[in-house]
Amino acid sequence: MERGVKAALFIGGIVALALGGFSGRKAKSGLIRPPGAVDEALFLSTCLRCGQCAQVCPQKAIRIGYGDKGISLGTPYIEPRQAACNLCMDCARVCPSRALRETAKENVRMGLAEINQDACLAWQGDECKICYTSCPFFNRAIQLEDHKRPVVNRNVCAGCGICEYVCIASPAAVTVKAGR
Amino acid sequence: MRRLRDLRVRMYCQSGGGNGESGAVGLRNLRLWRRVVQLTAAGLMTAPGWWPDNPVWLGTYISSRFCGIALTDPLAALEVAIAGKAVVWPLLWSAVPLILAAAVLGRIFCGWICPLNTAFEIAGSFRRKPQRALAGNWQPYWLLGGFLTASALIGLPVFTLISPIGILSRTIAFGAGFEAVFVVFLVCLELWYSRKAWCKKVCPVGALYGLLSRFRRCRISLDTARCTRCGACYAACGMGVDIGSPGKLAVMNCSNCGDCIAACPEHAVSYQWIKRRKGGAAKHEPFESHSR
Ligand code: SF4
Ligand code: SF4
Ligand code: SF4
Ligand code: SF4
Repeated sequence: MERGVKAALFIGGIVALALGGFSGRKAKSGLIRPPGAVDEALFLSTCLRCGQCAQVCPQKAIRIGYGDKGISLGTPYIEPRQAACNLCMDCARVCPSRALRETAKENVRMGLAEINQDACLAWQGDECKICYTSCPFFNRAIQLEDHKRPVVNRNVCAGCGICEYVCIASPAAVTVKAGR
Repeated sequence: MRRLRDLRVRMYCQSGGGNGESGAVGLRNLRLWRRVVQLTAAGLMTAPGWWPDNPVWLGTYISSRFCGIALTDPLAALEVAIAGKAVVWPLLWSAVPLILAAAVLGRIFCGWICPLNTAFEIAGSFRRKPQRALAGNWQPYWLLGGFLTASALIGLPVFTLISPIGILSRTIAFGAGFEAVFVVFLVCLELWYSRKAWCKKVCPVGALYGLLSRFRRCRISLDTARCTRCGACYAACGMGVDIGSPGKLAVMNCSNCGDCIAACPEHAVSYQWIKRRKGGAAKHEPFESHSR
């Protein structure tokens, strides 16, 4: 065999092995994707890692994964505590590969908010309704128990992360978990 | 043949030539213009950062929107289609302008746009000593097939995932993560190993552009009557192309950058527009009149 062919097979084989090792668990990146993302496995297959979604985001909420994100290198994700998504869908409209697809706000499922009752000021007896009043699905995704304590309704919450962004407890008492 | 060329290059370099000052009339500033285009192209990727909603540019050299036109790297589009097992028509359409450009004008992405190539050339310009003349071979074309097969098997766009062009593009647009060491490593190869080793031996993006440009119209041609076999063009060519050769590899590896044109003291190298006759025979028509 020609030397070049051998080298090509060699390099290709190493890359295939390295990535093959990842592919078994590729569907669990644990990252919160921008709204309208297809399911994680298909997302990793079809996202071009082009960064247009991040550049277009008016909230500057979308980050692009560096090498420490492993197989998600170059893909977009959101850290709501730093900057949250307001579901404007600009990113989904610009995505060339339909890894992000324009979706009605109600149908977005980026993740699910979870309230840590031990840290939540309202649950600890203080007056705080900031997540409740900030949620874009007002009085539906976060409802108040006894007019005081916030509770997440998992059938409505889109996982946008605005509640996590605005939460005045530190660290945030309400956090969004990826993957639904 | 290769040994003969290396000899010519060596002789030429010893004679102290290769400063790129001379060139066909009108093309003397080709290299300067190319550098301007390259740096503009790299700088464009930062534009959305300081000018949000600008009408000119969005994205990186994987996929972008240039003046409202969606452009996607043909290899990235192909890999994503294979890995996702679905055809997204807008995505494929966005690869068409670049495919057509390559089919007519050749690997102008490599020669005039690619930020990685720009990095190689800038790094190379700090080296006085001519680097080893590593020749191009078929390996990138094999690797192209390998990456596409791997994408189908693993269900991930394998090359797009590790592409140093993508890494460098995103580094320019979003800052550097530790994966940037890959780019740094390749640039080090430029300084201490060989010119454009990555482009000549690995890059499947370039290989796909090479395949697309196999029958292109705009080519480099050598006027053998004027050529004194000094080797200046070989020494100037970063792609290790056998200049003027109609061979497949010479045509497919050439990035139409024009460095050879600018380097030739006899003005024997030029761009040519090739017209196809009905019978299929190619007719060469020089762009530049040599006698001007
Ligand atoms: S715009 Fe789409 S393809 Fe590009 S990085 Fe964002 S999700 Fe991926
Ligand atoms: S509960 Fe939080 S994450 Fe869920 S929709 Fe409301 S603000 Fe967004
Ligand atoms: S061969 Fe690859 S790295 Fe080199 S210039 Fe072309 S696209 Fe860029
Ligand atoms: S043959 Fe000339 S135009 Fe083609 S890559 Fe080499 S120097 Fe550039």
